[in-house]
Amino acid sequence: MIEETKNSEKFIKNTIGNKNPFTTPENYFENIEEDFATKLATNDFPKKNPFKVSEDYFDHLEDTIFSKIDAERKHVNVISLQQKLIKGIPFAAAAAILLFIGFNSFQFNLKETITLDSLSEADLEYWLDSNTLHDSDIATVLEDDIIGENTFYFSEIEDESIEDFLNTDTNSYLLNELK
Amino acid sequence: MIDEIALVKDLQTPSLKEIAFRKLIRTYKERLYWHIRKIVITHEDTDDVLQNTFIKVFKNIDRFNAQSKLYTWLYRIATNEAISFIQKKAKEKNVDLNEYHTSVASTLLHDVLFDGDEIALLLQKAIATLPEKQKLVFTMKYFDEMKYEEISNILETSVGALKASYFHAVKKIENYIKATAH
Repeated sequence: MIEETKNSEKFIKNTIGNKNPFTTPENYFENIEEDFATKLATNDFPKKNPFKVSEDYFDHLEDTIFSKIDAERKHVNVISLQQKLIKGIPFAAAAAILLFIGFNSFQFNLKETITLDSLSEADLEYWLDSNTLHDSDIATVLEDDIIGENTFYFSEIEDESIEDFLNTDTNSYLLNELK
Repeated sequence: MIDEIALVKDLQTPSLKEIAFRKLIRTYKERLYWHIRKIVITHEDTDDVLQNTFIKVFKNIDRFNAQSKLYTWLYRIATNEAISFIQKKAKEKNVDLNEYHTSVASTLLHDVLFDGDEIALLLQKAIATLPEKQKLVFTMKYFDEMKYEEISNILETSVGALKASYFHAVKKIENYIKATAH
C-alpha cells in the first residue's frame, strides 16, 4: 500500500510538477506586520454607526431636490439676463464716451491717441451732462456679449476633459490637495 | 442591483431624464447620505451637501463618461462637495480645518441625532484630529468597509498610499483613545 501511494505521488509529480500555483499580491509579506497591527488596533474601536436620521427624511428627499432644481432653473434664467445687462452698461458707456471724444478729436484735428485712461474727469462729466445712454447702445454691446445655450451645445469638448473638469471643477483639486 | 448602463442611458435621454433621475436618487440617497454624514457630522450639513451633490449630478449627467462607474463618480462628487463644504464653513468661522472638526465633534454630546455611547463619542473626537485624507480613508475603510481598490478609484490615490494612510490613522486614533481614556 505504501509502495502504491509512493507510485501515485511520483506519477502526480511527474505529470503536474511541484510548483506552487498560488501567488500573493505584490509586497504582501512586506506589509503583513503593518496590516496585522492595524487590524489588532481597530478591534477595540466601536463599529456601530452612532448617527441617526429622522424616520421620514429619505421619503421627501426626491421632491426636495427636484423643487430645488426647478427653483435654480428659474433663478438662473432671471439672474443671468440681469447680470448681462448690468455688466454691459459700463462697456456701452465707455464705448459711447470713446466714440464721442474720438469724433470730437477728429473734428478738431487732434493728433493724440485717445484712451479711456487719458480722459479727464471734466470730459466725462461733460459727456454725462450732455448725453443719454440709450437702450440701443446697451443692446449693441449685449448682442456680441451674450453667450447663448447653443454656444456650448454645439461646441466640441472631449467627454474626458469635461469629466476631469467636473471632478475637480470648483473644488480646486480638493482631493489631491488633501494632506 | 440596478443596471447602471441602462440607467445612465435613460439619464442622458431628455424625455426619460426626470424619471431616471428619481430612480438614481432612490438608489443612492442612503449610501451617499451616510458617506457624507461621516465626513460633515451633523444632519443639517449632510442634508445640504447631499442635495448639492444630486443637483450637481443632475446638471452634469449628460457629460458623464461611462468609462468610469456611476457609483464611483457619485461618491467622488459627494466627497468633493463635502470637503468643499467643510473648507467653506471653516473659512466663514475663520478657523483652520482641525479646529473646525474638533468644534463640530464637541457638539455631538448634545446632538439628538447622535446615538453613540462614550467610546463612540471618543472615536469621533479622535477621527476629528486626523488630517483630511486620513479621515476619509479611515471612514471609508472602517465604517463603510470599502475595499482599497474602490477607495483608490474614488480618491484617485494608489492602494499603497491608502494602506499607509489607514495605518497612520488607526495608530493615531489608538493613541488618542489610550491617552484620553486613562
